Amino acid sequence: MIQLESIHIEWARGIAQKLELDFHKKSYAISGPNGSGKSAVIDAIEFALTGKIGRLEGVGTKGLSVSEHGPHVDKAKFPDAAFVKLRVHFPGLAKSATITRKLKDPTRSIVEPADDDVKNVLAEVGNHPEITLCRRDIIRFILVEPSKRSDEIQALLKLDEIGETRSALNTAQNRLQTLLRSASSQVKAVSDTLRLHLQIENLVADQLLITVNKRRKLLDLPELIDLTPETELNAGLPETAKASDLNKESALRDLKALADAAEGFVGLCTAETSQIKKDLARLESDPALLAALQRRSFIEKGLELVDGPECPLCNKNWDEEKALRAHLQAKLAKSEEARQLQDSLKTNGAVISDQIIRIAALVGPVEILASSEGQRDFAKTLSVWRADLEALKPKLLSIDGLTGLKERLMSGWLQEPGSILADLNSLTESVKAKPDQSATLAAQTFLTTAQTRLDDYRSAKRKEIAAKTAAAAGKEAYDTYCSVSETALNTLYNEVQEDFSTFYRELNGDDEAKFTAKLTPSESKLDLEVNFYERGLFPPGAYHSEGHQDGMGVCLYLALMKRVFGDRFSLALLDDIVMSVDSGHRFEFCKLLKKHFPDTQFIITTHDRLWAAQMKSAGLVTSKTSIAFHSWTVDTGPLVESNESIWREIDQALTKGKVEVAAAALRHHLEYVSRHLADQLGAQPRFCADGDYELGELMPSVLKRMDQLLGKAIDSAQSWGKSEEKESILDRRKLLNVSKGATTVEQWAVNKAVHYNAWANFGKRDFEPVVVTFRELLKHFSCKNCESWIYVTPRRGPPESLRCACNEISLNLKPKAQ
Amino acid sequence: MTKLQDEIARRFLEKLNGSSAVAPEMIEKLRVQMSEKKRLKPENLVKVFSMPTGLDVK
Repeated sequence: MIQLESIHIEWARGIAQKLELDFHKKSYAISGPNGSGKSAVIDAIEFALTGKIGRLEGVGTKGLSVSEHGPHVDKAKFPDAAFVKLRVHFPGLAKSATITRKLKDPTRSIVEPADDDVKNVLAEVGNHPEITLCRRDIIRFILVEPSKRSDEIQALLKLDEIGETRSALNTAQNRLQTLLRSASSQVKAVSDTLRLHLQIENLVADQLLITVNKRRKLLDLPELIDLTPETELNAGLPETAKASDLNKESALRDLKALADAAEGFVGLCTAETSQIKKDLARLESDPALLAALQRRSFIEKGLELVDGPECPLCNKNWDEEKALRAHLQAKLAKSEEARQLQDSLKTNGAVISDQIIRIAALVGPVEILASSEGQRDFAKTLSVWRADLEALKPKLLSIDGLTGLKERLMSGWLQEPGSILADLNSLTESVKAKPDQSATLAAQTFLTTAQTRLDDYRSAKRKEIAAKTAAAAGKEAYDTYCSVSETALNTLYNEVQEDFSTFYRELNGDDEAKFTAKLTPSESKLDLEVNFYERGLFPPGAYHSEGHQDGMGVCLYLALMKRVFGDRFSLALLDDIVMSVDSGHRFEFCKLLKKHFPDTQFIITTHDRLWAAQMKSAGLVTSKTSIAFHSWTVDTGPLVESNESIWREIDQALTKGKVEVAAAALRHHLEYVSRHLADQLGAQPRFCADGDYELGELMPSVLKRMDQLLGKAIDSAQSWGKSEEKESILDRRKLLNVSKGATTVEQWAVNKAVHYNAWANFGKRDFEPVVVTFRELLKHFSCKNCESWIYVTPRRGPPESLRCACNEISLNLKPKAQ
Repeated sequence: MTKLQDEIARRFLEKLNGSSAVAPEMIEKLRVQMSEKKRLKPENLVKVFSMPTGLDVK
């Protein structure tokens, strides 16, 4: 996606005034002691890219904000002065852009050029704060319980969207099932009214056709042979006859059906409403029941993970595992009770809903009858009641809806019109009073009513079929999504597991060459087990040392990032996390980064100077792409120390006549270099348990060691008959000894004892030769080409070669076997 | 790089294409909704699956 070219920081976090770094689009190391301002650079990069500073977010940062605490403390009242300008390269777009962001307005950035493609990539980067990894992040992946690890990794991989889609599809399929149930109930209800009219036992084509054809024969209408979706039962009747909708016998049956039903209204669904009332009362008296229901799956998983007296859900320590298990079992019992309660409420609500559908189907024909018979008030009463029942229906199918119906369920849920039996009686008498219909008219109205009810049935059936289709489609979609996502996630975790194991093996090849890991995903957790010296798979924290666990964290992070970004993993900010790799494996870590992520730019901070130097030796960074801060003050910010800039600083100090500044800088630099070279070359100064070596102890031992190594190289070249190489090394040794002699003369000038007092009368011309002497001396220890410090391999055991990072210097130290 | 969720969506729609339970017009509607990069809403999905299918009573 992106690579960093350079950064300009002014008054941001620990950077006072300004700091400019040129990253050269390469991996870059920033070293320096704790509190020297390294992380301020990482903060500035993160801020420029995302508008956020991770350090000011999360646990323990309450009350902190980027706009208020992002600027340098001296600019807290003038935050306008604090800004970061980051030059970014977009390899995929073959262009570069500059992002400028002020600390006082974190959400706003100025991008130049403001091209859409540039903005799109930056928006994507802004959506991935995980490009920054600091020490505290590592533990998130390794030493958390599986459910949290799953959350962390799913968040890192942006997998939450998958869970959301699955959840939406699941809710949709549940709703479609509920709609199907209602549609089926509706079919049953209209089927009953059609059968009631036809006076047949079962709604089957044969019985229907016999009944209908009996009337059609009476009317001299052709017999209906088959019942198809297009069949009209009253086909052939004149339009005027079709308009007559009252069939006296059928109307009386409809009235009787509703009246019979009304007789039973008082006790209708008593058992169900009573149970719902009880269930609601239980919920009311014990609100923890619902909460328990929501937490059910969480507790179930917790119980599975119990492995000792520490609770895997909250880390609380119990006296014994048994007590913890009993506690979780009690919680689970509570949620089981809640689940049963929920099922009970929904089941009983559905039964009442079905009754509403049945009653509404009985009310419909009577409502029409009342209207046609001029009993408008009764017709209106029935209409209002039916609408009320329709509105009640969906409420009975959800817990929230049922909770809101508590009062109604207490006082009689049906709320039928009080005068319904009297009104039905009056309407029945009115219909009965009508003269009997002629056989012809009765047959005509029978057919017309039958057709109307068949239409209702067909309509309900069509809706049911559509609901079935919808429910089947919803279920198929949900099942398919689950299956596809599960397969994809399993593949992903297998790939991550494979990469993680490979990285860790390469890092610890000397003692864990057969390391394997297993990531086991389930619905909401992700188990990680690692092989411990081929003794089996265990959680990472079980037997591995903290250093190894940290190494695992880094490896898992790299494996995940590889999967998140693929070949677009072009930038990672590693803030002091390389300390997580123990000293014996750092070189391998650098090799791992170079081998597996050759196109990724790592911006790495470390408080360990040796680590920084090893990165150079391994060729991960060069002198041009590394910087060292030797200290920090609130007025100056980080104070830079680097091989090139140190000589520039010394020259500048001398130009200004500040000999004491130049001498201090030179001494400081020599202390750093001699310590580093002592390590790189395997020098043997007098051992100090506290590691507090003096320059006067280190430098002579480094010079002695170098002389020994060159001696070995000469012997080796001699044994292999490489006379030209031998001469070259002899020259190198001779020049080294000249420089060594010169520095012995000038040694006093950087002696600690003469600091700050002898320089008072020291002039620029007096100190310049000292600087030249030491500068020349150090040239013997570095490569002109790659500028890395030379080192001996292997680190332990008899030395075999003396080399630099780019192999321009590569002297064989092993003589030919005799 | 294709995001995993995009890849899952692609395979999901592809697999649904071979299913007799989900009509092609439903799949097309799903494709549109999933490509909108917004959170899917159950009510919208219910609408997608409840599309008239042209089926009738036999």
